[in-house]
Amino acid sequence: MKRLILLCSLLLPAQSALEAPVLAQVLDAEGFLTPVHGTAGNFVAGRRMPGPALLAYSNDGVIEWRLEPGRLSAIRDGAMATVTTTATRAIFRGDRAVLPESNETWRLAGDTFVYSSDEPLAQLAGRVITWRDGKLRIFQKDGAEEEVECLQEPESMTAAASNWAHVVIAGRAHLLRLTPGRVELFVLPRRGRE
Amino acid sequence: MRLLVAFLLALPLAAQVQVYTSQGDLLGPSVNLGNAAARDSTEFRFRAVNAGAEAVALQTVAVNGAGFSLGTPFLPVTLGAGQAYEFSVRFAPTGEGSYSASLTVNSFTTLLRATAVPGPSLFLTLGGQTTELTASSLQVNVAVGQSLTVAFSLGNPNAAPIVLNEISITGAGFAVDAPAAPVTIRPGETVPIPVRITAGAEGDTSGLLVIGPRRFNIIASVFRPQLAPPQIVLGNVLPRNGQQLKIRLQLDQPALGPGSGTLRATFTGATEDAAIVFPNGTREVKFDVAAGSRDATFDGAIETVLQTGTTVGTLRLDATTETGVTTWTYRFDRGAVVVDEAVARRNGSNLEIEITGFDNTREVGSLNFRFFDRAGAPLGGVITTTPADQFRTYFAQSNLGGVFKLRAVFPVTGDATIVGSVLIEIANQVGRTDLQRLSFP
Repeated sequence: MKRLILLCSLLLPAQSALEAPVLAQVLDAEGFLTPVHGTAGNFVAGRRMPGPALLAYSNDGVIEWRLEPGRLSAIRDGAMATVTTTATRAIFRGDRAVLPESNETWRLAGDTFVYSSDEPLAQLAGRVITWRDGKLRIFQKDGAEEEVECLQEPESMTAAASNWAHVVIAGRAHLLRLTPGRVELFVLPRRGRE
Repeated sequence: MRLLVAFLLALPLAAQVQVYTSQGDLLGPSVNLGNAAARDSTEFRFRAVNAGAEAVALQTVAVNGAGFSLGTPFLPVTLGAGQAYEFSVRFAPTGEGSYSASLTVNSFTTLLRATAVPGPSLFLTLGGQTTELTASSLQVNVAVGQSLTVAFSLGNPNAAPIVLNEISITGAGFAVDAPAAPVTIRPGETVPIPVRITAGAEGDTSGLLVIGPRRFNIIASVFRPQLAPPQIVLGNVLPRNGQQLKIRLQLDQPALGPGSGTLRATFTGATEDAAIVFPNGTREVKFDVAAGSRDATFDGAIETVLQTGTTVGTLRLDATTETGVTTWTYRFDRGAVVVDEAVARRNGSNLEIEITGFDNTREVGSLNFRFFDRAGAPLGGVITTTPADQFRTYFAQSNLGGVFKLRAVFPVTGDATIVGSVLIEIANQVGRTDLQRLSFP
């Protein structure tokens, strides 16, 4: 048997072992990137991140997409790709960004963008999510299907973390937990008065 | 007193007093008051005006004739130049036919004439009961914004058909749904004439319902309904920390009119908890109740949620309207650590474990880790750590209640790939929480 020594550390140099958990990152009503702290169903919107208001944002834990006036950017594995654009709306699905106004689809290939003629994947944080008959159906990465009640069709769905989607229903922000076996739709409270 | 009497007697009595109808027509030697329904009581209003330049004493107002009567006048009165005195004559014929009476106002005399004709009966249906209305007016209460339909109907108690040349109603907010005139009602026949009253502003308003020879006053007292405090209905059977509590507000009875109120959450705990908020990010939300509804709505939604936070303490909800408050309270007791998510991963030769959860006591005491190889056999003993000081320091700076994210790193000397999984126990003073076995990918 190989020799194995385990040493426990709760505090790495310059890195706190205890912190306020950031569950997801979403755009607030004014378009500013905002972290969501807490646990499932117990959310606290944090302070807005520095930077300008964004037109669209997505972060599925693998790719972070940002659409800001004049520029589309994506960060994967620390490498950033950018392209200039006049788009004001974007839908991010996996490694593809759909710009509905110009009917363009960009695909992130390495650290650059390429035009894509493929049908954009319906994937969101690696899952396929559909709405039908008052329910959101989540097809997990392993093909398992889960559903959660959602009486109105969402206006938008955006990846907010590897296991969270930011869902807007009837103008109200929600967070959809995508963790296999623990799918649940929560209301995302607005940031309180500071 | 003697001086006053002398003064009154000295006032001119003669023709400087003129009498007008309520429509402003000057009375001559005779006046035809028109038709009125037999057995009905109809009031005719007149105005005596001092048309002269000097004051005049009004000493006599009298009516003399069968079927006519006069309310007791408060006489004498002195009318200055241009001043008027109003009085009314009631015509209550006992049967059909022509009637006349003399009306005397000081020295002026005129002949009042009126004809009693067969009239319809007026019925009111309320709660399945139909009653004939014999009075000349009806008062109803209507809530502001409410539209009330009064179920009137007409009947013919006579032996011959009645022809009604007019069925109408005057008055703001009043409308009658009647067949177009002329309307013939055969003996024994009933014709519904529902009257709809749409209440605008608070206060009294009246409508005059004219049914052929009959006149009927409807007085609507428009009131602003006051909302009773609603019941607080929870969608979750057993509230607990770390959840979104579903809340509905329900009235015992449907609201008479629209109303609103506030639902306020008050938390009393050892520490503040920023997560205890409604969807608007505060601890107070407004609710509305539509007229006729029992359910309150929050921005149009029938339900709201309140995050219960992750701290020991007492949560109180107050549903307040202008007439009172309904209160619900719940105490969140000290509990074992709740783990929301735990992840194990490899990072080079390190094994990393992240645990996200909450401890509502904010007193995490110990953590036990037991590692297993890929076959499930234990690797060494239990590694115990007591990070109470670190938790205390963290919670002292946190406004997130008992929420924490712990990251434990295990530097491995040797071949870390043989480690397959880990069992974790986390304990506070209340008890121990066992996590499900975490596998290292």
